Amino acid sequence: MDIKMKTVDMGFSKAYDYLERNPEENLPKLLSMVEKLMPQKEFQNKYRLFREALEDKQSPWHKLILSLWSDIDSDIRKTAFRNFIVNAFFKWSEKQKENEAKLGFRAPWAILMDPTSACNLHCTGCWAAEYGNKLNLSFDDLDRIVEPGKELGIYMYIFSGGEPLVRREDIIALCLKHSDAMFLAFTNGTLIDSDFADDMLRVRNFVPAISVEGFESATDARRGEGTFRSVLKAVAILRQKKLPFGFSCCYTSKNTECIGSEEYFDWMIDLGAKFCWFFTYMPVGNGAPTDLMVSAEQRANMYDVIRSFRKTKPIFTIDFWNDGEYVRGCIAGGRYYFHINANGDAEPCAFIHYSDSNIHEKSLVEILSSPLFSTYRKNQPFNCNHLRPCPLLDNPDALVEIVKGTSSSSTDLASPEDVEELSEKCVEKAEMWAPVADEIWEKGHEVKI
Amino acid sequence: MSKLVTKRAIVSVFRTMIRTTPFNKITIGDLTKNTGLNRQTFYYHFRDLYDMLLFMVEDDILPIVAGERDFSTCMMKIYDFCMEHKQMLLNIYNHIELDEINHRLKPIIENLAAHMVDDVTSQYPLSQEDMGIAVSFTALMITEFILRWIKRGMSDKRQEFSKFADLLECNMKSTIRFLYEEA
Repeated sequence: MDIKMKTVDMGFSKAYDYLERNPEENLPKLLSMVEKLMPQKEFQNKYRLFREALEDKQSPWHKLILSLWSDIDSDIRKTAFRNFIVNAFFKWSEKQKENEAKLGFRAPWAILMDPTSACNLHCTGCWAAEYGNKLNLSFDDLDRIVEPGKELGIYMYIFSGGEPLVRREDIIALCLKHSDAMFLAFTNGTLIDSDFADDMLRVRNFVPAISVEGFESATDARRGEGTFRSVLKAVAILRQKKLPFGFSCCYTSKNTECIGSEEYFDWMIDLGAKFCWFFTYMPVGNGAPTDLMVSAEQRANMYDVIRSFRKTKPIFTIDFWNDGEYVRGCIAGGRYYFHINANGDAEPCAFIHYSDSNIHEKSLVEILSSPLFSTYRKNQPFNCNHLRPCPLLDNPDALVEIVKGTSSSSTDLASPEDVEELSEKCVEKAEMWAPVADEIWEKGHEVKI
Repeated sequence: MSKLVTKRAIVSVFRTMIRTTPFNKITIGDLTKNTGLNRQTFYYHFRDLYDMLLFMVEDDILPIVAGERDFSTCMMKIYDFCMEHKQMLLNIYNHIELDEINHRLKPIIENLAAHMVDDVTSQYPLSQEDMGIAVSFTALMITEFILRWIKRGMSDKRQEFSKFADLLECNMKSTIRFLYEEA
């Protein structure tokens, strides 16, 4: 590690110890220090929001930040501060100038990877149920992603699948080996027991995002009877051991009213969730129903609801697609993230099942320079209205052009899906969303962060 | 296999390897091959070889300090243990980056020191904060003394070691009495 980074590490360690003595009083001072250290333009709006939250003691963000001291284990909090802020933001940001000069591109902020296609549940409409347990990335495969990833400055790794915790020992081993990286997993939560929670306390850098569809009947209807109760059991264990966690919700035409309700938000907050990631339903896969796609009205409603609750509820939310305005459109294709499935195929996005590269044959740099990935990034943003960011959901022709132009193939082994047929499924909703999104955009969307 | 059994199995193979191979030449790959386990199993239990080393230190020394209430006697038992494993300790010490391990060694030694001051602090009970000071101070003394002794080749002059052990005990006791009286 070079001298500068070692100095930064020591500096942040001292700063954190200072912060611990009196977080409420010292946080604003620490923020000033961070602003001086990372003055990049892309962080300025984030700093403004933080400062507003810290100065307004009634703000829900103020409550949320201070709850990180009351609700979270102190070693985990310190590790998250180092791995998430110092490593995944600062060191990543610093490294990108070098990457741009040497490689001609910036490395993504995160890599999403599937340790396995296996799952202990068989949820309706999930592709994991079709693949069975045949596909796996071994511990060494995963290690061969993270190790070079860190060389590129990537310290954020997210697991999906399949159910990642089917491979919990491999995941714990990876977390322990790469103690300077941050790991998050999309999980059904049913495999989180006391032993696994103790492992989480031991490694300190693993955070689960538990997937739910709404309340008990909606969740069990999709995921199987008893799933919701298993989730509550897992959450109780996490809470008791002061482990941070969040939820992940896919909103569909059937559950949007529930997911977007105040009751639901309050339920997540009362359970102790610190964040929630929202996804809109994507009709990916042959035979995937399109009637679960949200209408333009429902999508606009989620846009309003989430922004409104950001002003009043102490929980950190991200709404993929609708938050495109904060990140200047699509984040995929290696721009801020990309996906590696359990077969090793590198896909631009977890919802874009096309690839021209596999990690068993290509290095990370070769993948990110491949025709599919370069073309994908070259074509971003896919729309000047960042509320219509997606090359599949909002601009279906865009994906067809990329896939056909780069000779990429479907990675869906069970049933390869033709990109034109997939895109066709999205045309109607894209056309209906366009004027609604344009109106919101023209009216004065929130300032980009 | 229980977690403790697996960790000890890994350490046991390491002990065999370190007799003839310096620490910096031992790789996790070689270690796992010799144990018949895979890399994932090693990393499930240990972050790296230093982590394994720290486990070994604690696992070996804790039974000694936990079972002996007298400080000087404890130190001599540690001396005897180190002399029994002299070649291993020298093969480790002479080939590690001390900077990498020092801050990680601190909590382990403090845990051991907490046991070693127990007899004295039961006579002179301290507040939690003062106990922290006493334990830190004792741990620092023990660490510096033993590392220096190892660095100088682990002299087999038992009497000399015993004299220093008595000196450390004296310092430890006066520190604890001072903190008790100043409270």
